[in-house]
Amino acid sequence: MKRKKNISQGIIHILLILFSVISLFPLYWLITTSLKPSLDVFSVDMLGFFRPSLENYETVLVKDQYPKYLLNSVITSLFTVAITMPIGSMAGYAFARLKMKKKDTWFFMILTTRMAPAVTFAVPIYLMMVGVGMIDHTAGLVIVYVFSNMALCIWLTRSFFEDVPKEIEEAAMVDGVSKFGAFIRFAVPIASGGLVATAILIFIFSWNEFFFASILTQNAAKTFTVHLTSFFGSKRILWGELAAASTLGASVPIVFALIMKQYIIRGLTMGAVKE
Amino acid sequence: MRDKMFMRFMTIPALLVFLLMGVYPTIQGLINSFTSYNMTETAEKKFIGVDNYIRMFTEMRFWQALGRTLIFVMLSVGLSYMIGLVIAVLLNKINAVRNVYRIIFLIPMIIAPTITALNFKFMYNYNMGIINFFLNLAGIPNVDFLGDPSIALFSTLAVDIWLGTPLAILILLAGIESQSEAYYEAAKIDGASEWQIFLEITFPILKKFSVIVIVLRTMDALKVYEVIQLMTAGGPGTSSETLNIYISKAGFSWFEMGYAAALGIFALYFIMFIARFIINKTGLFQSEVSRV
Repeated sequence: MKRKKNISQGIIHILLILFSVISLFPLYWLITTSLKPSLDVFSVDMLGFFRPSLENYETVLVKDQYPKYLLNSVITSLFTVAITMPIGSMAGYAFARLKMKKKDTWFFMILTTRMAPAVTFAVPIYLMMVGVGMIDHTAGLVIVYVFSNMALCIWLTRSFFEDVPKEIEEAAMVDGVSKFGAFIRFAVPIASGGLVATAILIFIFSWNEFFFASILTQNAAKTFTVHLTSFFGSKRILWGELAAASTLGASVPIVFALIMKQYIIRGLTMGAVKE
Repeated sequence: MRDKMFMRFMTIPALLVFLLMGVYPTIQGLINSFTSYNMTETAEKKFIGVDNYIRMFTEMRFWQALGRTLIFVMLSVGLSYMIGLVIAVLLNKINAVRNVYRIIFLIPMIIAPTITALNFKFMYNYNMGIINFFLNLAGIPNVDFLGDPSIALFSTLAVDIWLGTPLAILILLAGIESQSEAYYEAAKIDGASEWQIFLEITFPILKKFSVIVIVLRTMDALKVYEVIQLMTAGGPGTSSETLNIYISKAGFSWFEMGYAAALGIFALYFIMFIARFIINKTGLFQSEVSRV
Protein backbone atom coordinates (compact mmCIF):
# COMPACT_ATOMS: atom_id res chain seq x y z
CA MET A 1 0.00 0.00 0.00
CA LYS A 2 2.76 2.41 1.03
CA ARG A 3 4.84 1.31 -1.92
CA LYS A 4 1.98 1.90 -4.34
CA LYS A 5 1.61 5.40 -2.96
CA ASN A 6 5.30 6.07 -3.43
CA ILE A 7 5.13 5.00 -7.06
CA SER A 8 2.15 7.23 -7.83
CA GLN A 9 3.86 10.14 -6.04
CA GLY A 10 6.87 9.46 -8.26
CA ILE A 11 4.77 9.60 -11.43
CA ILE A 12 3.11 12.83 -10.30
CA HIS A 13 6.49 14.43 -9.68
CA ILE A 14 7.76 13.34 -13.08
CA LEU A 15 4.71 14.86 -14.81
CA LEU A 16 5.03 18.10 -12.87
CA ILE A 17 8.73 18.37 -13.57
CA LEU A 18 8.06 17.76 -17.26
CA PHE A 19 5.48 20.53 -17.30
CA SER A 20 7.84 22.87 -15.43
CA VAL A 21 10.54 22.21 -18.00
CA ILE A 22 8.11 23.20 -20.76
CA SER A 23 7.27 26.38 -18.82
CA LEU A 24 10.83 27.37 -18.13
CA PHE A 25 12.66 26.13 -21.22
CA PRO A 26 11.92 29.21 -23.38
CA LEU A 27 13.43 31.48 -20.73
CA TYR A 28 16.44 29.18 -20.35
CA TRP A 29 16.92 29.13 -24.10
CA LEU A 30 16.61 32.92 -24.28
CA ILE A 31 19.33 33.38 -21.68
CA THR A 32 21.72 30.84 -23.21
CA THR A 33 21.19 32.36 -26.67
CA SER A 34 22.04 35.77 -25.26
CA LEU A 35 25.36 34.38 -24.02
CA LYS A 36 26.37 32.77 -27.30
CA PRO A 37 28.90 34.52 -29.51
CA SER A 38 27.32 35.56 -32.79
CA LEU A 39 28.81 32.66 -34.78
CA ASP A 40 27.23 30.11 -32.44
CA VAL A 41 23.83 31.72 -32.17
CA PHE A 42 22.00 28.78 -33.71
CA SER A 43 24.13 26.12 -32.02
CA VAL A 44 21.98 23.66 -30.13
CA ASP A 45 24.45 23.01 -27.34
CA MET A 46 22.16 22.69 -24.38
CA LEU A 47 24.40 22.90 -21.42
CA GLY A 48 26.70 25.65 -22.43
CA PHE A 49 29.40 23.83 -24.37
CA PHE A 50 29.99 27.09 -26.09
CA ARG A 51 32.27 29.81 -24.88
CA PRO A 52 29.89 32.06 -22.98
CA SER A 53 30.39 35.65 -23.94
CA LEU A 54 28.93 38.97 -22.97
CA GLU A 55 29.49 40.28 -26.49
CA ASN A 56 25.73 40.59 -27.16
CA TYR A 57 25.15 42.53 -23.97
CA GLU A 58 28.01 44.84 -24.81
CA THR A 59 26.57 45.50 -28.27
CA VAL A 60 23.10 46.14 -26.91
CA LEU A 61 24.11 48.33 -24.00
CA VAL A 62 27.04 50.25 -25.46
CA LYS A 63 26.76 50.38 -29.25
CA ASP A 64 23.00 50.33 -29.49
CA GLN A 65 20.59 52.91 -28.15
CA TYR A 66 18.84 50.27 -26.05
CA PRO A 67 19.52 51.93 -22.65
CA LYS A 68 17.65 55.00 -23.87
CA TYR A 69 14.57 52.93 -24.66
CA LEU A 70 14.79 51.05 -21.38
CA LEU A 71 14.86 54.40 -19.64
CA ASN A 72 11.80 55.50 -21.64
CA SER A 73 10.02 52.36 -20.43
CA VAL A 74 10.97 53.13 -16.83
CA ILE A 75 9.73 56.71 -17.07
CA THR A 76 6.51 55.78 -18.86
CA SER A 77 5.72 53.02 -16.36
CA LEU A 78 6.53 55.13 -13.30
CA PHE A 79 4.31 58.01 -14.44
CA THR A 80 1.52 55.58 -15.27
CA VAL A 81 1.67 54.13 -11.76
CA ALA A 82 1.90 57.57 -10.13
CA ILE A 83 -1.25 58.79 -11.88
CA THR A 84 -3.30 55.59 -11.93
CA MET A 85 -2.84 54.63 -8.28
CA PRO A 86 -4.36 57.65 -6.50
CA ILE A 87 -7.28 57.91 -8.95
CA GLY A 88 -7.94 54.18 -9.05
CA SER A 89 -7.62 53.54 -5.32
CA MET A 90 -10.03 56.38 -4.50
CA ALA A 91 -12.63 54.77 -6.74
CA GLY A 92 -11.73 51.30 -5.45
CA TYR A 93 -12.27 52.50 -1.90
CA ALA A 94 -15.65 53.98 -2.82
CA PHE A 95 -16.74 50.67 -4.33
CA ALA A 96 -15.56 48.76 -1.29
CA ARG A 97 -17.62 50.97 1.03
CA LEU A 98 -20.60 52.12 -0.95
CA LYS A 99 -24.03 50.61 -1.26
CA MET A 100 -24.90 51.65 -4.75
CA LYS A 101 -27.61 50.71 -7.18
CA LYS A 102 -25.68 51.53 -10.32
CA LYS A 103 -22.79 49.33 -9.28
CA ASP A 104 -23.69 46.78 -11.92
CA THR A 105 -23.25 49.39 -14.65
CA TRP A 106 -19.84 50.28 -13.28
CA PHE A 107 -18.78 46.65 -13.21
CA PHE A 108 -19.95 46.23 -16.77
CA MET A 109 -17.92 49.26 -17.84
CA ILE A 110 -14.89 48.06 -15.93
CA LEU A 111 -15.17 44.59 -17.36
CA THR A 112 -15.61 45.88 -20.90
CA THR A 113 -12.53 48.10 -20.78
CA ARG A 114 -10.60 45.24 -19.25
CA MET A 115 -11.78 42.90 -22.02
CA ALA A 116 -11.62 45.14 -25.04
CA PRO A 117 -8.53 44.56 -27.16
CA ALA A 118 -6.39 47.67 -27.54
CA VAL A 119 -7.08 47.75 -31.28
CA THR A 120 -10.76 48.57 -30.74
CA PHE A 121 -9.76 51.93 -29.28
CA ALA A 122 -6.71 52.31 -31.47
CA VAL A 123 -7.99 54.41 -34.36
CA PRO A 124 -9.78 57.12 -32.35
CA ILE A 125 -7.00 57.31 -29.76
CA TYR A 126 -4.40 57.54 -32.51
CA LEU A 127 -6.33 60.32 -34.27
CA MET A 128 -6.83 62.09 -30.95
CA MET A 129 -3.09 61.98 -30.24
CA VAL A 130 -2.33 63.23 -33.76
CA GLY A 131 -4.86 66.03 -33.17
CA VAL A 132 -3.23 67.26 -29.97
CA GLY A 133 0.32 66.69 -31.24
CA MET A 134 1.16 64.00 -28.70
CA ILE A 135 2.56 61.43 -31.10
CA ASP A 136 6.00 60.30 -29.92
CA HIS A 137 5.53 61.99 -26.55
CA THR A 138 5.84 60.02 -23.33
CA ALA A 139 2.90 61.98 -21.93
CA GLY A 140 0.60 60.70 -24.67
CA LEU A 141 1.55 57.10 -23.96
CA VAL A 142 1.14 57.62 -20.22
CA ILE A 143 -2.43 58.91 -20.66
CA VAL A 144 -3.34 55.83 -22.68
CA TYR A 145 -1.77 53.51 -20.10
CA VAL A 146 -3.55 55.26 -17.24
CA PHE A 147 -6.82 54.51 -19.00
CA SER A 148 -5.99 50.92 -19.90
CA ASN A 149 -4.87 50.09 -16.33
CA MET A 150 -7.64 51.98 -14.52
CA ALA A 151 -10.16 49.13 -14.55
CA LEU A 152 -7.62 46.71 -13.13
CA CYS A 153 -6.57 49.22 -10.49
CA ILE A 154 -10.14 49.88 -9.30
CA TRP A 155 -10.95 46.19 -9.30
CA LEU A 156 -7.92 45.18 -7.26
CA THR A 157 -7.83 48.05 -4.78
CA ARG A 158 -11.52 47.45 -4.09
CA SER A 159 -10.68 43.86 -3.19
CA PHE A 160 -7.85 45.00 -0.88
CA PHE A 161 -9.96 47.72 0.80
CA GLU A 162 -12.70 45.20 1.47
CA ASP A 163 -10.21 43.37 3.67
CA VAL A 164 -9.85 46.50 5.84
CA PRO A 165 -12.33 46.46 8.76
CA LYS A 166 -14.81 49.31 8.41
CA GLU A 167 -14.90 49.77 12.19
CA ILE A 168 -11.42 51.28 12.29
CA GLU A 169 -12.45 54.15 10.01
CA GLU A 170 -15.73 54.58 11.83
CA ALA A 171 -13.91 54.86 15.15
CA ALA A 172 -11.57 57.44 13.64
CA MET A 173 -14.49 59.48 12.32
CA VAL A 174 -16.10 59.46 15.75
CA ASP A 175 -12.84 61.01 16.95
CA GLY A 176 -13.38 63.85 14.49
CA VAL A 177 -11.31 62.69 11.52
CA SER A 178 -12.85 63.68 8.19
CA LYS A 179 -14.00 61.05 5.71
CA PHE A 180 -11.09 61.73 3.40
CA GLY A 181 -8.78 61.72 6.42
CA ALA A 182 -10.07 58.31 7.44
CA PHE A 183 -9.30 57.07 3.93
CA ILE A 184 -5.78 58.52 3.76
CA ARG A 185 -4.68 57.98 7.35
CA PHE A 186 -6.33 54.64 8.14
CA ALA A 187 -7.60 52.68 5.12
CA VAL A 188 -4.58 53.33 2.88
CA PRO A 189 -1.87 52.37 5.43
CA ILE A 190 -3.73 49.20 6.43
CA ALA A 191 -4.18 48.15 2.78
CA SER A 192 -0.67 49.28 1.82
CA GLY A 193 0.67 45.79 1.04
CA GLY A 194 -2.07 45.24 -1.50
CA LEU A 195 -1.72 48.75 -2.89
CA VAL A 196 2.01 48.29 -3.44
CA ALA A 197 1.29 45.02 -5.23
CA THR A 198 -1.32 46.72 -7.43
CA ALA A 199 1.22 49.43 -8.25
CA ILE A 200 3.82 46.82 -9.18
CA LEU A 201 1.35 44.99 -11.37
CA ILE A 202 0.46 48.20 -13.19
CA PHE A 203 4.17 48.90 -13.59
CA ILE A 204 4.67 45.45 -15.12
CA PHE A 205 1.72 45.86 -17.51
CA SER A 206 2.95 49.27 -18.67
CA TRP A 207 6.49 47.91 -18.95
CA ASN A 208 5.29 45.00 -21.11
CA GLU A 209 2.85 46.93 -23.32
CA PHE A 210 3.54 46.79 -27.03
CA PHE A 211 0.57 47.74 -29.19
CA PHE A 212 -0.01 51.38 -28.23
CA ALA A 213 3.71 52.01 -27.92
CA SER A 214 4.14 50.74 -31.47
CA ILE A 215 1.52 53.08 -32.95
CA LEU A 216 2.01 56.16 -30.75
CA THR A 217 5.79 56.43 -30.64
CA GLN A 218 8.51 56.68 -33.25
CA ASN A 219 11.84 57.38 -31.63
CA ALA A 220 11.95 59.95 -28.85
CA ALA A 221 9.36 58.21 -26.65
CA LYS A 222 9.85 54.66 -27.99
CA THR A 223 9.80 51.98 -25.31
CA PHE A 224 11.98 48.88 -25.14
CA THR A 225 9.30 46.45 -26.37
CA VAL A 226 8.99 48.35 -29.64
CA HIS A 227 12.74 48.61 -29.99
CA LEU A 228 13.07 44.82 -29.76
CA THR A 229 11.45 44.52 -33.17
CA SER A 230 14.19 46.65 -34.70
CA PHE A 231 16.68 43.81 -34.28
CA PHE A 232 14.96 42.35 -37.31
CA GLY A 233 17.18 44.09 -39.83
CA SER A 234 16.42 44.19 -43.53
CA LYS A 235 19.42 41.96 -44.25
CA ARG A 236 19.58 39.69 -41.24
CA ILE A 237 18.05 39.12 -37.86
CA LEU A 238 20.33 39.85 -34.92
CA TRP A 239 19.14 36.93 -32.77
CA GLY A 240 21.94 37.11 -30.22
CA GLU A 241 21.49 40.81 -29.60
CA LEU A 242 17.72 40.36 -29.51
CA ALA A 243 18.09 37.64 -26.89
CA ALA A 244 20.35 39.83 -24.75
CA ALA A 245 17.95 42.78 -25.00
CA SER A 246 14.99 40.49 -24.26
CA THR A 247 16.69 38.99 -21.22
CA LEU A 248 17.25 42.47 -19.81
CA GLY A 249 13.64 43.42 -20.49
CA ALA A 250 12.30 40.24 -18.92
CA SER A 251 14.41 40.51 -15.79
CA VAL A 252 12.49 43.48 -14.36
CA PRO A 253 9.08 41.77 -14.01
CA ILE A 254 10.73 38.54 -12.87
CA VAL A 255 12.50 40.30 -9.99
CA PHE A 256 9.25 41.99 -8.94
CA ALA A 257 7.35 38.72 -9.11
CA LEU A 258 9.87 36.91 -6.97
CA ILE A 259 9.72 39.62 -4.32
CA MET A 260 5.94 39.93 -4.19
CA LYS A 261 4.84 36.52 -5.37
CA GLN A 262 1.67 36.15 -3.32
CA TYR A 263 0.23 39.57 -4.08
CA ILE A 264 1.13 39.33 -7.74
CA ILE A 265 -0.72 36.04 -8.03
CA ARG A 266 -3.75 37.65 -6.43
CA GLY A 267 -3.52 40.53 -8.85
CA LEU A 268 -3.02 38.46 -12.00
CA THR A 269 -5.99 36.30 -11.11
CA MET A 270 -8.09 39.47 -10.60
CA GLY A 271 -8.44 38.73 -6.89
CA ALA A 272 -9.66 35.16 -7.36
CA VAL A 273 -6.68 33.73 -5.49
CA LYS A 274 -6.32 35.14 -1.98
CA GLU A 275 -3.97 33.91 0.64
CA MET B 1 -26.68 60.51 2.59
CA ARG B 2 -23.58 62.66 2.95
CA ASP B 3 -21.62 59.45 2.99
CA LYS B 4 -22.98 58.67 -0.44
CA MET B 5 -22.00 62.12 -1.72
CA PHE B 6 -18.46 61.62 -0.49
CA MET B 7 -18.13 58.24 -2.15
CA ARG B 8 -19.50 59.68 -5.42
CA PHE B 9 -16.85 62.38 -5.21
CA MET B 10 -14.19 59.70 -4.77
CA THR B 11 -15.13 58.09 -8.10
CA ILE B 12 -15.14 61.35 -10.11
CA PRO B 13 -11.48 61.32 -11.21
CA ALA B 14 -11.76 57.73 -12.43
CA LEU B 15 -15.00 58.59 -14.19
CA LEU B 16 -13.26 61.47 -15.99
CA VAL B 17 -10.53 59.08 -17.18
CA PHE B 18 -13.16 56.70 -18.56
CA LEU B 19 -15.02 59.56 -20.24
CA LEU B 20 -11.92 61.10 -21.80
CA MET B 21 -10.17 57.92 -22.92
CA GLY B 22 -13.02 55.43 -23.19
CA VAL B 23 -16.26 57.16 -24.07
CA TYR B 24 -14.89 60.03 -26.17
CA PRO B 25 -12.78 57.80 -28.45
CA THR B 26 -15.71 55.41 -28.82
CA ILE B 27 -17.95 58.24 -29.99
CA GLN B 28 -15.20 59.54 -32.28
CA GLY B 29 -14.74 56.02 -33.60
CA LEU B 30 -18.45 55.76 -34.28
CA ILE B 31 -18.40 59.05 -36.19
CA ASN B 32 -15.30 58.09 -38.16
CA SER B 33 -16.82 54.74 -39.04
CA PHE B 34 -19.35 56.57 -41.24
CA THR B 35 -16.66 58.40 -43.18
CA SER B 36 -14.17 57.64 -45.87
CA TYR B 37 -10.89 58.72 -44.41
CA ASN B 38 -7.56 57.53 -45.68
CA MET B 39 -4.63 59.29 -44.05
CA THR B 40 -2.32 58.61 -46.99
CA GLU B 41 -4.58 60.48 -49.41
CA THR B 42 -5.01 64.21 -49.53
CA ALA B 43 -8.78 63.91 -50.08
CA GLU B 44 -10.88 65.31 -47.27
CA LYS B 45 -12.74 63.09 -44.89
CA LYS B 46 -16.24 62.64 -46.28
CA PHE B 47 -19.45 61.14 -45.03
CA ILE B 48 -20.30 57.86 -46.74
CA GLY B 49 -23.07 56.48 -44.54
CA VAL B 50 -22.89 52.80 -43.75
CA ASP B 51 -20.59 51.94 -46.66
CA ASN B 52 -17.78 50.86 -44.33
CA TYR B 53 -20.13 48.47 -42.57
CA ILE B 54 -21.43 47.11 -45.87
CA ARG B 55 -17.84 46.59 -47.00
CA MET B 56 -17.07 44.84 -43.70
CA PHE B 57 -20.00 42.45 -43.84
CA THR B 58 -19.52 41.62 -47.50
CA GLU B 59 -15.79 41.09 -47.28
CA MET B 60 -14.80 37.43 -47.05
CA ARG B 61 -11.55 38.36 -45.34
CA PHE B 62 -13.47 39.88 -42.41
CA TRP B 63 -15.57 36.77 -41.84
CA GLN B 64 -12.48 34.58 -42.08
CA ALA B 65 -10.70 36.73 -39.51
CA LEU B 66 -13.72 36.57 -37.21
CA GLY B 67 -13.93 32.80 -37.64
CA ARG B 68 -10.23 32.41 -36.84
CA THR B 69 -10.68 34.58 -33.77
CA LEU B 70 -13.49 32.34 -32.51
CA ILE B 71 -11.49 29.17 -33.17
CA PHE B 72 -8.45 30.70 -31.52
CA VAL B 73 -10.37 31.79 -28.42
CA MET B 74 -12.25 28.53 -27.99
CA LEU B 75 -9.20 26.33 -28.42
CA SER B 76 -6.97 28.53 -26.30
CA VAL B 77 -9.47 28.76 -23.45
CA GLY B 78 -10.55 25.13 -23.64
CA LEU B 79 -7.09 23.59 -23.85
CA SER B 80 -5.48 25.84 -21.25
CA TYR B 81 -8.38 25.08 -18.92
CA MET B 82 -8.02 21.33 -19.36
CA ILE B 83 -4.25 21.28 -19.02
CA GLY B 84 -4.52 23.64 -16.06
CA LEU B 85 -7.03 21.38 -14.35
CA VAL B 86 -4.81 18.31 -14.72
CA ILE B 87 -1.75 20.12 -13.38
CA ALA B 88 -3.70 21.68 -10.49
CA VAL B 89 -5.07 18.28 -9.43
CA LEU B 90 -1.57 16.80 -9.61
CA LEU B 91 -0.12 19.70 -7.61
CA ASN B 92 -2.73 19.15 -4.94
CA LYS B 93 -1.52 15.59 -4.51
CA ILE B 94 2.01 16.55 -3.55
CA ASN B 95 2.84 18.21 -0.30
CA ALA B 96 6.37 19.49 -0.66
CA VAL B 97 7.64 22.21 -3.01
CA ARG B 98 4.19 23.35 -4.14
CA ASN B 99 5.34 26.94 -3.73
CA VAL B 100 8.36 26.38 -5.95
CA TYR B 101 5.99 25.30 -8.71
CA ARG B 102 3.89 28.41 -8.12
CA ILE B 103 6.91 30.59 -8.84
CA ILE B 104 7.80 28.55 -11.92
CA PHE B 105 4.29 28.97 -13.30
CA LEU B 106 4.30 32.68 -12.59
CA ILE B 107 7.16 33.34 -14.98
CA PRO B 108 5.43 32.80 -18.37
CA MET B 109 2.66 35.14 -17.23
CA ILE B 110 4.78 38.16 -16.39
CA ILE B 111 7.32 38.26 -19.20
CA ALA B 112 6.29 40.71 -21.93
CA PRO B 113 4.29 38.94 -24.66
CA THR B 114 6.57 40.75 -27.11
CA ILE B 115 9.59 38.91 -25.71
CA THR B 116 7.74 35.59 -25.67
CA ALA B 117 6.57 36.02 -29.26
CA LEU B 118 10.03 36.89 -30.58
CA ASN B 119 11.63 34.12 -28.56
CA PHE B 120 9.22 31.51 -29.92
CA LYS B 121 9.81 32.82 -33.41
CA PHE B 122 13.47 31.99 -32.85
CA MET B 123 12.69 28.55 -31.44
CA TYR B 124 10.22 27.80 -34.26
CA ASN B 125 12.85 28.56 -36.93
CA TYR B 126 12.57 26.07 -39.77
CA ASN B 127 16.22 25.14 -40.32
CA MET B 128 17.91 25.97 -37.08
CA GLY B 129 15.24 26.28 -34.42
CA ILE B 130 15.54 24.25 -31.25
CA ILE B 131 12.04 22.77 -31.56
CA ASN B 132 12.82 21.26 -34.96
CA PHE B 133 16.10 20.02 -33.48
CA PHE B 134 14.14 18.10 -30.85
CA LEU B 135 11.71 16.80 -33.48
CA ASN B 136 14.63 15.55 -35.56
CA LEU B 137 16.02 13.74 -32.53
CA ALA B 138 12.67 11.99 -32.28
CA GLY B 139 12.87 11.09 -35.96
CA ILE B 140 10.31 13.64 -37.13
CA PRO B 141 11.21 15.76 -40.17
CA ASN B 142 11.35 19.56 -39.89
CA VAL B 143 8.04 21.37 -39.52
CA ASP B 144 7.59 24.82 -40.99
CA PHE B 145 5.73 26.14 -37.95
CA LEU B 146 5.27 29.72 -39.08
CA GLY B 147 5.60 29.36 -42.85
CA ASP B 148 3.01 26.67 -43.54
CA PRO B 149 -0.45 28.23 -43.97
CA SER B 150 -2.19 25.20 -42.50
CA ILE B 151 -0.06 25.26 -39.34
CA ALA B 152 0.79 28.91 -38.66
CA LEU B 153 -2.37 29.78 -36.70
CA PHE B 154 -1.95 26.73 -34.52
CA SER B 155 1.69 27.54 -33.86
CA THR B 156 0.64 30.91 -32.50
CA LEU B 157 -2.18 29.23 -30.58
CA ALA B 158 0.33 26.92 -28.89
CA VAL B 159 2.24 29.97 -27.65
CA ASP B 160 -0.95 31.51 -26.28
CA ILE B 161 -1.77 28.28 -24.46
CA TRP B 162 1.76 28.24 -23.06
CA LEU B 163 1.17 31.82 -21.86
CA GLY B 164 -2.31 31.24 -20.46
CA THR B 165 -2.19 27.85 -18.77
CA PRO B 166 -0.36 29.06 -15.64
CA LEU B 167 -3.27 31.38 -14.84
CA ALA B 168 -5.66 28.43 -14.99
CA ILE B 169 -3.37 26.36 -12.78
CA LEU B 170 -3.04 29.03 -10.10
CA ILE B 171 -6.78 29.72 -9.87
CA LEU B 172 -7.88 26.08 -9.98
CA LEU B 173 -5.25 25.06 -7.43
CA ALA B 174 -6.48 27.79 -5.09
CA GLY B 175 -9.99 26.44 -5.60
CA ILE B 176 -9.01 22.89 -4.73
CA GLU B 177 -7.01 24.06 -1.72
CA SER B 178 -9.94 26.10 -0.41
CA GLN B 179 -11.93 22.94 0.22
CA SER B 180 -11.63 20.98 3.42
CA GLU B 181 -9.83 17.66 3.45
CA ALA B 182 -12.75 16.10 5.30
CA TYR B 183 -14.77 15.48 2.13
CA TYR B 184 -11.92 13.56 0.54
CA GLU B 185 -11.23 11.53 3.64
CA ALA B 186 -14.90 10.58 3.96
CA ALA B 187 -15.06 9.57 0.31
CA LYS B 188 -11.91 7.47 0.65
CA ILE B 189 -13.31 5.68 3.67
CA ASP B 190 -16.42 4.92 1.65
CA GLY B 191 -14.16 3.26 -0.88
CA ALA B 192 -14.46 5.79 -3.72
CA SER B 193 -11.79 5.59 -6.44
CA GLU B 194 -9.55 8.55 -7.28
CA TRP B 195 -11.51 9.08 -10.48
CA GLN B 196 -14.86 9.06 -8.64
CA ILE B 197 -13.50 11.54 -6.11
CA PHE B 198 -12.44 13.83 -8.93
CA LEU B 199 -15.75 13.64 -10.79
CA GLU B 200 -18.07 13.83 -7.83
CA ILE B 201 -16.24 16.02 -5.34
CA THR B 202 -13.37 18.02 -6.84
CA PHE B 203 -15.00 19.02 -10.10
CA PRO B 204 -18.31 20.35 -8.68
CA ILE B 205 -16.43 22.26 -5.98
CA LEU B 206 -14.40 23.92 -8.70
CA LYS B 207 -17.40 25.29 -10.58
CA LYS B 208 -17.02 28.87 -9.39
CA PHE B 209 -13.27 28.84 -9.96
CA SER B 210 -13.73 27.32 -13.41
CA VAL B 211 -16.01 30.21 -14.35
CA ILE B 212 -13.35 32.70 -13.25
CA VAL B 213 -10.70 30.89 -15.29
CA ILE B 214 -12.90 30.83 -18.36
CA VAL B 215 -13.81 34.51 -18.03
CA LEU B 216 -10.22 35.69 -17.55
CA ARG B 217 -8.81 33.42 -20.23
CA THR B 218 -11.50 34.51 -22.70
CA MET B 219 -10.58 38.15 -22.08
CA ASP B 220 -6.90 37.43 -22.66
CA ALA B 221 -7.46 35.27 -25.72
CA LEU B 222 -9.66 37.94 -27.30
CA LYS B 223 -6.85 40.43 -26.78
CA VAL B 224 -4.07 38.42 -28.38
CA TYR B 225 -2.00 40.67 -30.59
CA GLU B 226 1.77 40.46 -30.13
CA VAL B 227 1.94 36.69 -30.33
CA ILE B 228 0.41 36.71 -33.82
CA GLN B 229 1.61 40.06 -35.13
CA LEU B 230 5.27 39.48 -34.26
CA MET B 231 5.46 35.81 -35.25
CA THR B 232 3.46 35.67 -38.48
CA ALA B 233 1.89 39.15 -38.93
CA GLY B 234 -1.24 37.25 -39.90
CA GLY B 235 0.55 35.29 -42.61
CA PRO B 236 1.47 33.41 -44.62
CA GLY B 237 -1.13 35.10 -46.79
CA THR B 238 -3.94 35.70 -44.35
CA SER B 239 -3.83 32.22 -42.85
CA SER B 240 -3.30 33.37 -39.25
CA GLU B 241 -5.05 36.74 -39.47
CA THR B 242 -7.42 37.26 -36.54
CA LEU B 243 -9.78 40.19 -36.06
CA ASN B 244 -7.24 42.20 -34.04
CA ILE B 245 -4.58 41.77 -36.70
CA TYR B 246 -7.04 42.67 -39.47
CA ILE B 247 -8.11 45.86 -37.68
CA SER B 248 -4.57 46.98 -37.06
CA LYS B 249 -3.68 46.31 -40.70
CA ALA B 250 -6.64 48.34 -41.94
CA GLY B 251 -5.73 51.21 -39.62
CA PHE B 252 -1.98 51.26 -39.49
CA SER B 253 -0.78 49.56 -42.67
CA TRP B 254 -3.39 50.83 -45.11
CA PHE B 255 -4.31 53.93 -43.05
CA GLU B 256 -7.98 53.44 -43.90
CA MET B 257 -9.11 55.05 -40.70
CA GLY B 258 -12.81 55.06 -41.49
CA TYR B 259 -12.91 51.37 -42.28
CA ALA B 260 -10.66 50.48 -39.32
CA ALA B 261 -12.94 52.52 -37.05
CA ALA B 262 -15.96 50.55 -38.27
CA LEU B 263 -14.13 47.30 -37.56
CA GLY B 264 -13.16 48.60 -34.12
CA ILE B 265 -16.79 49.48 -33.31
CA PHE B 266 -17.89 46.03 -34.39
CA ALA B 267 -15.21 44.37 -32.24
CA LEU B 268 -16.17 46.52 -29.24
CA TYR B 269 -19.86 45.59 -29.50
CA PHE B 270 -18.93 41.98 -30.04
CA ILE B 271 -16.91 42.05 -26.80
CA MET B 272 -19.60 43.92 -24.86
CA PHE B 273 -22.01 41.24 -25.99
CA ILE B 274 -19.69 38.54 -24.64
CA ALA B 275 -19.23 40.51 -21.39
CA ARG B 276 -23.00 40.82 -20.96
CA PHE B 277 -23.40 37.16 -21.68
CA ILE B 278 -20.82 36.28 -19.06
CA ILE B 279 -22.40 38.57 -16.46
CA ASN B 280 -25.88 37.18 -17.02
CA LYS B 281 -25.04 33.53 -17.40
CA THR B 282 -22.48 33.09 -14.67
CA GLY B 283 -23.90 35.30 -11.94
CA LEU B 284 -20.29 36.12 -11.17
CA PHE B 285 -21.00 39.78 -10.54
CA GLN B 286 -24.43 39.55 -8.96
CA SER B 287 -22.83 37.92 -5.95
CA GLU B 288 -20.40 40.81 -5.74
CA VAL B 289 -23.23 43.34 -5.77
CA SER B 290 -25.41 41.58 -3.24
CA ARG B 291 -22.55 41.01 -0.86
CA VAL B 292 -21.83 44.68 -0.26
